[in-house]
Amino acid sequence: MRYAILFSGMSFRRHVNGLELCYRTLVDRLGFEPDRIQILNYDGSLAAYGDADTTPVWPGDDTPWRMPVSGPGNRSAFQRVLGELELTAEDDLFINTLGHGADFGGPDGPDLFTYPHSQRYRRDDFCADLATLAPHRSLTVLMAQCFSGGFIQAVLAASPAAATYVATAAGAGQRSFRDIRQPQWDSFQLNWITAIANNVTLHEAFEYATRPGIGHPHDTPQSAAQPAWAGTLKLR
Amino acid sequence: MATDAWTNRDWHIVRADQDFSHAFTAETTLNFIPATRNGVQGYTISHAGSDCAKGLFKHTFLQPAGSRIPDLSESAGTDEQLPPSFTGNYDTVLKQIADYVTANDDVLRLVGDVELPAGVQTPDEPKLEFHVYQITNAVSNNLTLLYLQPPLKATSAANGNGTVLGYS
Repeated sequence: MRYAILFSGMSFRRHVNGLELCYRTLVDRLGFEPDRIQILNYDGSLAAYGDADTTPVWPGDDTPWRMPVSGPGNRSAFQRVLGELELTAEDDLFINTLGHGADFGGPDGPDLFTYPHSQRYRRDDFCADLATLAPHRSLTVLMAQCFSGGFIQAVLAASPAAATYVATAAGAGQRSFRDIRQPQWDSFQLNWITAIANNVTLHEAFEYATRPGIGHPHDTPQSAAQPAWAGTLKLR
Repeated sequence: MATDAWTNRDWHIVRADQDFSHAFTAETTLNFIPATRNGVQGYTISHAGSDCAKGLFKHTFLQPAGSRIPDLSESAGTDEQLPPSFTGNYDTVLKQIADYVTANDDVLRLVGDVELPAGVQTPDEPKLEFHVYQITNAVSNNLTLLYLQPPLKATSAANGNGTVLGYS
């Protein structure tokens, strides 16, 4: 079976938009069962920081929001949904994180900002939580926050999956940005999700999202696969 | 008055990264100069001995908010002071301080912005907004930590930014 966790802590509106884009892509284009997708956003609603009044429609196609947010964007909620998963060796898990990141540049690595008060979800805590998962077939992690590249090696090391693929919008110590032409989206997440909707492999989606001229010029996307063939997997 | 804690002292800038590196130069000093604008009492910045009315900070006006200056043990839960170089395995303490000042609105801060040089501005974001905090007894020999971070701002183009570290 295929599972997904979509996470954004101190969300801006564009991050909530991105969660919905991901949710719809997983359900409508890739055939995920909706009840196997957990969405954790901001305060546990469709709200965003500085934008509590959610518009009735999603800007992607001006239809009503569909994703069911099941908890706030913080560590305890993430731990809860991880704990509820009963993964087996035949299962696949996809995780997409959006929102904000921070990094003081030291050995602790980067953090995810979470709800409330931009509380830091430390890289090593995030990976320790991932390591509690039962062994499973594949883990795909798409990270769009600043400094996300600093998560890559730690995620690979912590993953209990037989195959792990990580794609990030930014390199270690680097920032990520909203799309220049369509500021209601994060650039890299928009392009990776747009590509994966067409049933390409994980790494083909990365290659699409990093083509010259398509992404934000200041984004510094990274990817890694363990083992190398993990990049040839598909989400479908 | 707590805000007096900013003036009549040299603040040594040690580290500035991301957008902050375009405005704050490491290994220089920074001074907060009392000023009044539109009837509001605040501060201007003299950076590396520059005239407040010239250079990048010529339009900068910092307004105080909050009132309480925390010390290291209160904000980070430790008494192990940071080295003035801020090198080594100290980012755990810095993260705890950052979490603390962000979560506690009553902590004294200065709120303002600086206009970045044209060549390094993020499109549609000519100004870098920031908050300035101080943490007492946080740096070796009981020096006070100077910590700058950007506020979370819903219109920001980037999904994060840098910080400035210094001491006095």
